[in-house]
Amino acid sequence: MNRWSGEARRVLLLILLSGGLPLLALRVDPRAYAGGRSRDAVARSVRNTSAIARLLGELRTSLSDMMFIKTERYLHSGVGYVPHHSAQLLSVEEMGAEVDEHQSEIGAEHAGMIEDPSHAGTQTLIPDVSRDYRGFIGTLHRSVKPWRDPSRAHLHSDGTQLLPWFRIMTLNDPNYVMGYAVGGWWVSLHDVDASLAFLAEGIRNNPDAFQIRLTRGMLLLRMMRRPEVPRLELLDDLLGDFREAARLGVAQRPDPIDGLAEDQPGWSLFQEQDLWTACQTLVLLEKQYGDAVEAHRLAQAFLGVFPDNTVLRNVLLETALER
Amino acid sequence: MRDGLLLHRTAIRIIGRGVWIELLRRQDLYVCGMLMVLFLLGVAVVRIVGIEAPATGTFMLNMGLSLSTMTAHILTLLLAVRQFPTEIENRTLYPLLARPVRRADIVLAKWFAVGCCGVAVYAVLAGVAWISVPKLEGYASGLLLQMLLLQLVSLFLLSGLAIALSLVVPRGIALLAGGSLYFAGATLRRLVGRGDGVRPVLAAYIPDFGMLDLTTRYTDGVAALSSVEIVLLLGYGCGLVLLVVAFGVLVFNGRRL
Repeated sequence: MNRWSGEARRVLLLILLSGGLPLLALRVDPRAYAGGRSRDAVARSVRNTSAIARLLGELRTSLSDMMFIKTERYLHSGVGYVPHHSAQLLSVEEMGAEVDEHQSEIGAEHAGMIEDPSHAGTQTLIPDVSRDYRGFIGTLHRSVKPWRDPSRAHLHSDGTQLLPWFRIMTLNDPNYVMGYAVGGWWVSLHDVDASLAFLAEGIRNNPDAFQIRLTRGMLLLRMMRRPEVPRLELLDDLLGDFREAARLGVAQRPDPIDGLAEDQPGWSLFQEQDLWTACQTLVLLEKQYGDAVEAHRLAQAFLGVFPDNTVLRNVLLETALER
Repeated sequence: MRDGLLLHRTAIRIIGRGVWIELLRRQDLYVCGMLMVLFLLGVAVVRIVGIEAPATGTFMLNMGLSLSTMTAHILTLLLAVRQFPTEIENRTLYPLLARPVRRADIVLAKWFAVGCCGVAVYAVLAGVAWISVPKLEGYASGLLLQMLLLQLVSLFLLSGLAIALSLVVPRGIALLAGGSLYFAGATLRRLVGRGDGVRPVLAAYIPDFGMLDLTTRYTDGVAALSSVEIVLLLGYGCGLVLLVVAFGVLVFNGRRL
């Protein structure tokens, strides 16, 4: 009896103690921080093409990074090429255009595949005969693994196989902004609602990441262009995303040195391009669907950030004349 | 009273020494050592060839510290899951139980000794990795201390968790479950805790070792955690340690041997 009451007391104490754990766990997450070298997409791109990364193969700093590289391999029908995502493709707009272009070419030659001659010449991870010192072993390696002559056009898949990787990489690292931004485009090709939910999750996990907001805004803008979609229902969300993307981006942009903000720590050319797109599109949307006074005010404010933007200058003039 | 306390201390010291000797006798430690030597060779080659960009130095530092963390945890896990099942199999636990030592003391002594072994291995490996890699970018030194402190808690947590699991399920399954929780606990927690309501609260009971690992935050050049955050994290880690160790003690107390 005594032993039981002692045990029961201990169990009760344990339950009471453990009750406080979720309170602590839900209040703090040391992984949730803005910026950081491992999350800088340009630094990531440089690291993935560096000699040490090639030497280590797929052993990289982050599992999500490894999975992102996997998506490139899956896109290339299993053939491992030296990572060749250019910094331009890290921009939301460029990535959207690339995905669209890729999709429009699907089914032309092989079932569900396209040949992309633009990347021909990129070296494969398994070297070709002229670069392979291994002789028979090399031939065997090329025969048993997916391999394609690097001088030939890349054989691209339709991207369906990529989708689970984006889900897993963002589950593994909810702060992997590039996974959400790039994944959002690919998922939208198959299911727009799923893509919007995916991006909403990305925004929830990364409230400071203006590129996820921009991706969702651009996706909504594309949806609005479809005749069957009721425009007014999307308008508030659309404007909200662009406003937030521009606000966050302008706040995060470092002060330019010699007129250039890019190449400064934590800011890159593609982020600059994305902010340019966010500001310009917001002003145009405000002018067309929102408030002309607000469009004028925003154009004036954004010209302080991008003085060379002729679209903003034109909107400023037009709205001034209207007023 | 004083004699009893002395007896407990002696028993704990003897059990701890046994764990340490076991660690030295097993090959795991040497495999870890070889892994680290390979890493050091890699660093030496890179230093001779020359580091092309400061980011490569950070990459290597991250890899060295991550390797140390992972190696120390794997070693702790392997050592912890062997403690009770092997002693029961070899019947070496019975002479120990015949002595005037409380069962709780045996669990506590083993947990503490395994945790100390893990911390010792981590201290050596992380020290070697930190010293060998050139620091070419800025890092918050306060965060380094916080990282070491939380790793200490993390190793003791894994030690307690693996011992508790090994008392409930066979050794192989305990190893698999402990390893899965260490490597995929954070992902599992996110999967279970998706959505609102009670799910995130329940998911918070899944040990998330990622919460106690500040390696990437450190090499990312991010600022140190605030005192409130570090206290909350220490509370979370220590709370989980207390929970798993208490669970282990309860199971071992109720077990028929």
